[in-house]
Amino acid sequence: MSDRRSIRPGQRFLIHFTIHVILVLAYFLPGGFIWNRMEPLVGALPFGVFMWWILLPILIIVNMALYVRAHWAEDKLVTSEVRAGVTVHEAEQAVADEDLDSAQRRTEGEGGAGS
Amino acid sequence: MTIPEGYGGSILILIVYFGAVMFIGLWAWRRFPQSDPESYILGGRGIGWVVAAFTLMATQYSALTVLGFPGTMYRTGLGGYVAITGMYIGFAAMYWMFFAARTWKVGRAFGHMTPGETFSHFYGSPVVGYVIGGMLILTVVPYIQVQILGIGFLFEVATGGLIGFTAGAVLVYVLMMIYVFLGGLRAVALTDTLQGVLLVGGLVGGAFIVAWAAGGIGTSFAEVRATSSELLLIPGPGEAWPWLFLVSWAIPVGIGWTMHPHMWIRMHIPKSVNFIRMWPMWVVISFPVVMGAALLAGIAGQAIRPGVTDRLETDTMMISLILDNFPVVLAGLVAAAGIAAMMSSVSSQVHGVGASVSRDFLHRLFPEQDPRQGVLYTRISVLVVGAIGLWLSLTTPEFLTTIGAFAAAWGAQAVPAAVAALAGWRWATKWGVMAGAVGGTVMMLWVGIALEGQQLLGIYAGLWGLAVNVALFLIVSAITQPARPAEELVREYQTLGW
Repeated sequence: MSDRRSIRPGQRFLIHFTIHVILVLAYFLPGGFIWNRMEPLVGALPFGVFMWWILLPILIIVNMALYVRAHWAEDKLVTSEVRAGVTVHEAEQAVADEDLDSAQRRTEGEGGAGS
Repeated sequence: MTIPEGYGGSILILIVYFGAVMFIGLWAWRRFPQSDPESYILGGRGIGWVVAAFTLMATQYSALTVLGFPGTMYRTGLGGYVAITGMYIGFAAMYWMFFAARTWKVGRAFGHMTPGETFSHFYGSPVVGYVIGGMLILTVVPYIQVQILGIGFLFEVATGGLIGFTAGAVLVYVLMMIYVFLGGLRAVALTDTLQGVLLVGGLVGGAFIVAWAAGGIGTSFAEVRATSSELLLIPGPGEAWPWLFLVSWAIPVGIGWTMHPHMWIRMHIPKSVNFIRMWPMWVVISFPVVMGAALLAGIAGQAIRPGVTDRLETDTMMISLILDNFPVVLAGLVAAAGIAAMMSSVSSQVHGVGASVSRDFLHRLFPEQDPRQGVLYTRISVLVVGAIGLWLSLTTPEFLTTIGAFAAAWGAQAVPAAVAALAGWRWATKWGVMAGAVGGTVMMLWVGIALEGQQLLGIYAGLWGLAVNVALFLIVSAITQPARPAEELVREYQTLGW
């Protein structure tokens, strides 16, 4: 937990966003030269169909899932604070000021974020 | 009135489907309060992740998904799949990754529900909301028209002609308007959940049935590989998708889709930031599945019945192949899935546009509204938008059909205004975003309508429009700096987290 906490939320966001941009570039830009061919067959699918239908989407999905996971704890805390009646600005400030682990324990002790 | 032979099962499926949808829609109306605009328009900002995910997905799949895309992939092969899937899992997902959570937070912080409200608030001018919010309303109207046409067509197919095109379209539309009018977002989102399951199951099931008729997935691809290999390569037959056009089409259409009022409203509905963070993930999971099914249906269609060029015949190829090779009841199931796809889209669109008319116009023109009057005005707006959509679909004006081709890319004309507001760019001015949106729209429509192939120098009209928009936005903002948003307000936007 402490290792993951050493990367700030904004940095985590930028890491996954950058990976997404790279994957989108891989999807579109070299496609005409690299993926756009029949051989070799992968399973019963031509190579291009396999790349665009199966492999590239899976890589994009994995990055997106990691992006969601990377923000999970902070998002849960902001939500619980907002549902407790404070403004979004105050909730974010409170989460930023507070030690995440103790804040999580406190939230869980109160019954979680209710999600 | 006698039931056409063999269509009894198909008609029964439709009756059960409509019964279930009406039950859910009316149950939502009775179960959840509609006492203020926030509950009617946003479900009280309290939607859980399952319903939020399904309403997002079902809203995106429409008449095009069941009728248009399998036909597109039959005619143009892999290029159509790469363009359509790429625009969503690439560019729409990219926008939502950056701005969905931020939009949720802005909505909670300032009480916004529609894009026009956010624009008016940040740029400090109701005129921005009228111009760009009004433009976004116009971008959705052609979609509503297309959906209703699709509903009428599928209803005629599924009932064997027992209920004709116009009667079917009007019947389905009136039923749908009842639960949208009464139940608001909750009714729309809950029926979307049922419709989402049905449409994904119907399209994927239909594609596999057609592939089975062709001898299997491998056989379908092998057959097409041997006879029409250009379908499995880009740009495809007749240079259908040249690379430059493909990429320049996917960018504005992908991000433009996210701007439409019904999609924007959905960024405010989840009760948790975690759920809104998941949105791009659902997009990148569902699109390869659904569009992959459309690709499979198109390729299997080529393997079974190659060489068809008529557009209507190719668009309905999947259903006609099922009708030819299997019991009618299976075609009825797929047709019901198609109707579900269309209803889920058009109900969201009518609700979203009605909400925008109410919040961006009526709420400003008649600010002295108590919460119940706010709901009443929104319901009336939904009813009027619905009536206009039905009238347009039955009269099918040519002008609307022409601009409808650019409806998704047109939404991209709001992107500079949205990005600058949500990111809190202090130097973006109301004159800059309005000049950009208007100039970009003119450029897009000029290239799209006046030039052949909707392109200039191989680049799609929508991207030209976006480029002109960005240029005008930067230049006009630079020379109208005294009209910058208020410093304190900018700081409030900037300090919201990503």
